[in-house]
Amino acid sequence: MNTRKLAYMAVIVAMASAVHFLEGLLPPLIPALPGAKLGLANVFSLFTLLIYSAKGALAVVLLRCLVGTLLIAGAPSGLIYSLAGGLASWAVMALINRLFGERAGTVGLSVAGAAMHNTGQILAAVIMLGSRYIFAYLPWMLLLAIPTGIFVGLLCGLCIKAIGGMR
Amino acid sequence: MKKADLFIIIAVVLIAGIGLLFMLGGNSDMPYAVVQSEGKEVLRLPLHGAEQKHIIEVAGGYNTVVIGGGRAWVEEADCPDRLCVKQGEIDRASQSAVCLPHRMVLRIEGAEDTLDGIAN
Repeated sequence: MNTRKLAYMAVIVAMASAVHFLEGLLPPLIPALPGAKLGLANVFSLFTLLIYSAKGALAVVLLRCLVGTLLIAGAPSGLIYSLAGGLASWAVMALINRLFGERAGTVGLSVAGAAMHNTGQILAAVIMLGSRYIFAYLPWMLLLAIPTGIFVGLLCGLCIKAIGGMR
Repeated sequence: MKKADLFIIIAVVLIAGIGLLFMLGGNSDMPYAVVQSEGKEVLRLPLHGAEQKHIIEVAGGYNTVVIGGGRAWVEEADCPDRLCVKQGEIDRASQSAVCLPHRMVLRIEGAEDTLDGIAN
């Protein structure tokens, strides 16, 4: 890793952590669905995946979950949900990017990532709470992943257009 | 937006739709309100009984649930986000109110025909 990349990655992780933290302060988009949020922090993972590599994106996800959660004092369970969502989302985005390459754009990648993020979090909640009834939230969370995923995907597309050449 | 993007979006809609169909195919027994705390069932009451208030104690906090008169809700809680309270009343099968910090789930099992609920 050269110094230039190290510096850019550090800035990306810092911004992703801040957005992750700030988004956690906002109320959920839909009160009946705890955990329903825009997923703005995914802009940074997706950006890194496309500009650098899947490995780089994994680093961004892991670090922003750690830093973003530690900023909110006294919520260790939050880390488990963040990681479950973040890792599931990273895995599917990296896989689709590898399989489809240029044919899949930021919007598709982001929607798939958002859907898997919500699936991962619900799975974590099912395991943590020991209640499979939480799966009842999953179809709604998947539908919600479409508008939020499209929004984040478009935003990431704009970022890549504007500063994608920085690397 | 590219062709593969559209394909991904349609796939997510289809999976969600299949999930919703499964949920709607619920059973029609007498409805019960069930409280699960830390993975174990701690309370089970008929949903249409007299209104009762119960305090569910967990490590580091409590949730007060009210069950009866055909509905159930979390009235009070000392969890940091209080999302369980904000989820409000539930009155139909497979609905639930969840408190993630306290690992508490209030849900309804079985219910009368959902069509009646709509016709009412």
